[in-house]
Amino acid sequence: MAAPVLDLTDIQAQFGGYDRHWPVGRFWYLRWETPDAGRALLARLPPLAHCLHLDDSDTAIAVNVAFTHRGLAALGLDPTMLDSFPEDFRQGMRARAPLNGDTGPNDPQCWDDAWQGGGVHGWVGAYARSAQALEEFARDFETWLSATPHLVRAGSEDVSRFYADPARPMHIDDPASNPSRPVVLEHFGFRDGVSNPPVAGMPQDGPATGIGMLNKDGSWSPLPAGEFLLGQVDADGEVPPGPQPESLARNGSFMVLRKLEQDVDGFRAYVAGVAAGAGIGADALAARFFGRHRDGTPLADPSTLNGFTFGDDPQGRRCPLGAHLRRANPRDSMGFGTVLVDRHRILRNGITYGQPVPHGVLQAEVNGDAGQGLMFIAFNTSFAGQFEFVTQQWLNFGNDQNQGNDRDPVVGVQVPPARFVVPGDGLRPTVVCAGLPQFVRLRGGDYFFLPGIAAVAALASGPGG
Amino acid sequence: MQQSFEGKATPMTVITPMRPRWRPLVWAILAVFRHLKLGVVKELAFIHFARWLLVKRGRLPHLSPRQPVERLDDDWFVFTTNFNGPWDQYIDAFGMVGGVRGGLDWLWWTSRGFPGAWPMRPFKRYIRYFEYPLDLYCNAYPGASVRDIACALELSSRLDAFLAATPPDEDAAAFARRWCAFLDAVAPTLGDTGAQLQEIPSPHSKVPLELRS
Repeated sequence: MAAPVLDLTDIQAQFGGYDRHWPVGRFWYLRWETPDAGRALLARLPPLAHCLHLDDSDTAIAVNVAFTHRGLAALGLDPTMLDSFPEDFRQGMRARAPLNGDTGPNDPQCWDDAWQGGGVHGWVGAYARSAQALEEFARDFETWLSATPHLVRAGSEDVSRFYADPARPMHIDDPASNPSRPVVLEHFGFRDGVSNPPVAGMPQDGPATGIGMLNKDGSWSPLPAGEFLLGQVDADGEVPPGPQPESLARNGSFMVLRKLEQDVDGFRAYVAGVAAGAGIGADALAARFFGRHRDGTPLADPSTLNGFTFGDDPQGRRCPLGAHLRRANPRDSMGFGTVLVDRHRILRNGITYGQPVPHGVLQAEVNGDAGQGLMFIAFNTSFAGQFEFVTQQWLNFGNDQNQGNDRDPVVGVQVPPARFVVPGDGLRPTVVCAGLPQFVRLRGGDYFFLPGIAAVAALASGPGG
Repeated sequence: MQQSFEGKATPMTVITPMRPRWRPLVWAILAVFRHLKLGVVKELAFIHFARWLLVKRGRLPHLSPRQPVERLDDDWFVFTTNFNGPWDQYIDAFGMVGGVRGGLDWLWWTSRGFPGAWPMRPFKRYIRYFEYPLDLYCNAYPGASVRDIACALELSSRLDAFLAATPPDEDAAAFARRWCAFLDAVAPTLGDTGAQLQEIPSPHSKVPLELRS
């Protein structure tokens, strides 16, 4: 099947993701009390960054915007248009907390202030080539925000990427586990963002082997664009349900935003304790939680970054069935190639916040109470069928992975007995990680609609526009 | 229709109308299916079982003399099944796994209005339309899925064998060695089981949003 011709100049850059050229950014969470205030915001934003040749553009700042359903309603959209959005988006992430396991410490009542009260109408994400460029933009933008009536700044978040650095090792007990190359890391010290689904029609980073869709002849294809972009054909050969009119949906995507706070101290202490009891290395055990070593090398096949499958490891002796990467994308684990998985993929373009915590240092010593974590951003065309499905069935439940009720050892919402079994491979003993604490805590977020750029312009023009 | 049966299994009953003149053909197809080795259903480890029946138009239950006798044009083709996980995933598996799709096309081919097991959306709409709401559902082990049971059976037989092979006077080192080997062997079956009743039921796990209204 030929890839669709996508108009990359109409797709906001956040969908394709920002790379090392854009190391810092700031997210604003905004609320407009009148439709005019919302439209004033859209008019004030610089031309939105798109996916075509982003890195070659001569601008130092890249800005994108996305809306919650309340935000679209507050823009004064016609009720017929508002009702044409799928129910999951209309309800928002807060209302769907029980589905995502956002209970207990993750309960919406415990979220940051930005997500309480009147809620968030719009997300404005700015990425910059330098901290200085970001500061210049932010100063002007915030001055304008505070001078604009009926536009409320519910909160903001500074985000930044960081890389493996020999001067800042992040291991637990094995210095050699630190990556030898400057790969992008998350705060537990593991390489992140390496196995996104390739999207047909989007620029490809590499072959689809392992991360795309497995064809009957053994070859791999990118996922159909309609799995991630509204108005395109999905893996069922259908156009996914989206808002009407079609021009509002075109080149848009549904975006999950979640602020995930990471307990780096707790993770290191817990893994070190279990590893000591079992007589194995802590960093080797930590790699089993993720399914990859710190530099991204997969446990399933060290000779490749992504070109592996799980079919020849049904018992999880190389890569545990409960490991984070095997839960989040089981590839061929469930049999029948990847057909039982293809409809449940998400495109992640998150970015870390907070300063990295070096080996031997506590989080509070790095940045006090501010903490560190991940601004999780994922795109799909159905929250229910993709993000929520993965969260509910694969991360917070283990049946499809033969793990019973056990949950994802890294991001799962743990409920006693909270266990993670790492089967032995003959050399390494079986390790039962019991009484798993919760290492990742949700601090807020919502379901957003990231429209195509022409659709944003239409929204900005308003009723007489 | 909102069903909220507690437990990990979800029942589904689909009753479709079928012209009586297809009866002999349907019997023949069902007879063939009964003798096929449906390995694919076993591989789809979230299916407990699946069963198809033909109910002749004159054989619907007549519960009391006061119940009016109905003269129906159609026979009824009954499909009943139990599965773990979301409705959507279950139906997806039907349509997407080639072997299953072909089988379903054969089985439902004679039902009125059957659009085929592919493409997905008309097929789901068809199933949804003829799915029958259940008032009563008995689940003896609400905390167990098919996979849980398969794991538990394997674990218990291996444990019995381990215990039977353990001599009463075994020294600690030998026991430790055998214990570790045993643990390695059963490690893939140690997932926690039991009911997490408040965690499992959820509106979207039963029916995809686009089909609810």
